[in-house]
Amino acid sequence: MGAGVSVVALGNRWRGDDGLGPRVLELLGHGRQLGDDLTELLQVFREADRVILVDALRAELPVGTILTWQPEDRPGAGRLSSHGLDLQQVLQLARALGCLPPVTVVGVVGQDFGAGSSLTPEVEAAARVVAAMCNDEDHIAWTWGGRRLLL
Amino acid sequence: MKTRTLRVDNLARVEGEGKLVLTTRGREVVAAELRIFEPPRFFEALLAGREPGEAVDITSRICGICPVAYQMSAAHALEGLAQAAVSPEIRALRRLLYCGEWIESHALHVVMLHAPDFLGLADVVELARLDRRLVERGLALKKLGNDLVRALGGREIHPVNVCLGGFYSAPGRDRLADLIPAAERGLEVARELLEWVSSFAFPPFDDAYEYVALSHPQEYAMNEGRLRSSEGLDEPVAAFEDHFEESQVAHSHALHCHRRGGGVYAVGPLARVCLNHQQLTPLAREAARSAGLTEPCRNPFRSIVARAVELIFACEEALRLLAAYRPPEPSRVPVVLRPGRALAATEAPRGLLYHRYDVGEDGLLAGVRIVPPTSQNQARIERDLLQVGAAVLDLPAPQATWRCEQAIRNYDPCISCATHFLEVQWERE
Repeated sequence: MGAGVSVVALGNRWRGDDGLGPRVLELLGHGRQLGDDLTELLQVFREADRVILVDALRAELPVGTILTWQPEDRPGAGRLSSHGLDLQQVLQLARALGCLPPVTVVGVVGQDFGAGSSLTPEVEAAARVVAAMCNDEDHIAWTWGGRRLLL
Repeated sequence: MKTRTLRVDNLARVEGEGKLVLTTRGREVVAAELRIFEPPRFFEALLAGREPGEAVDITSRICGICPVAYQMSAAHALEGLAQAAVSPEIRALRRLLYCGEWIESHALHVVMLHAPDFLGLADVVELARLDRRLVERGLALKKLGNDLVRALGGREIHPVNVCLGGFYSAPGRDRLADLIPAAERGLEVARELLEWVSSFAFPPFDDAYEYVALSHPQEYAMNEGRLRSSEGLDEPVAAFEDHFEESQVAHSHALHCHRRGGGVYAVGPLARVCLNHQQLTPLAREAARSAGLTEPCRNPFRSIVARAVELIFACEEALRLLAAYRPPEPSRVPVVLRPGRALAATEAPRGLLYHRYDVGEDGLLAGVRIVPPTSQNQARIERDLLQVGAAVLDLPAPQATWRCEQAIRNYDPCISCATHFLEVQWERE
């Protein structure tokens, strides 16, 4: 893991597949967990040279699909998460405030976001792949091009 | 039946998601249903059969934005049953912790979630492009709140240092003294924010409002007080269930609260300022007066001003507590529970939060009731939407939807347990 790269996980481990982020951190053994308040990301951005953001998401794609993108790849339409300020808004806010470092977002398509602390098997499998990606700098730079979220 | 459907993928700038259905007859909005899909009973059920002390930790998971509020209501309820009195130093530290939570919650809401509405902006990103300095200062104020909670609570998301009887460990004097400069800067920002939001144009609105809050004779109530309302209610918290009832409504998994006898009511910053402005700290009290909030205010759009007043209060109060801080020795008092009913209410950022625990003969929790501020406000929000909906009937769908969302955001509702997207749906009878 290169110096200055922070892995940040979003998600609530008590809400089913939303626990994807916390699970990745658990597998990695390092990184920072954010809660419901995504504006905390702005503080992370000020302190880190590069950031990998890991989060579960809803999309019209098979459960467990892993997507990676840089913020500039996605225009600001739509919402990706169930938080007050969503991830796209926080990234745009960071850019507007001049504090957006290089960021790679890693999203895993979840299925069940109800109450509970276990992951769908495909999401658990994806968590292991994502943790491996975060440990491999070559993967950080590699975007799975061609896959786009359907909203 | 002709249906005009306004579809919004989700209710923006509210924690979580929900659905709003407005039914019109001619030019009248005859029904407003705010459908919030949350599993409130999950946590109550989760607690049954557990050790009472676990309530402090488990309930703090209910809300990611106000965990301290849940810890405070839980701790005070169980300590009340045990007849365990905390020391003045522990009491002060808890109040400081709550100031931290109010600051982070209110700063987030005022600047990032609510202000854009009044400026015709889509969100805080647009606001940052127009006035970067203001957003930066709002974020710095919010960070002060986060830092206070972290210094006392021991961790950012779910404070782990809070326990029955007090704290697992008390921060050293220097640790808290380090926060004084940021608190002084925070107070300046809070005063700037009040001036800013006071200049907003507020949509006209008036209705018969009953405000409910904790009230204390000597201080602006946070953790202790009696139940008071603008309609003359003045009762101990133990009488909460005699005066307020919850009922399941068909369209929402959240429960609706009413005064027994029928009336809807509102809790939160506007209720607190209206009822308790005399107990505010000096600058906050003056701010409330100059902002016109010492007269009864029946316009929920001005809740943003009440939040700004409370930001001033929380910074002033934090400075007072930081300057006077003496580490409590010991950091916690013994709490010996016995079978019986434990209950308490404290003032979460969004309003009154009531907890009730029944401790069985086996010493375990037999039953739990948690009444969050957002569920208490839900009936009142729907009542507001009857008027707001009527005022925007002729507007194009996007503007009408936005005004409805703005009216809901007046209450800074916390529906973070929701899993569905918001739609706004109009149905014509």
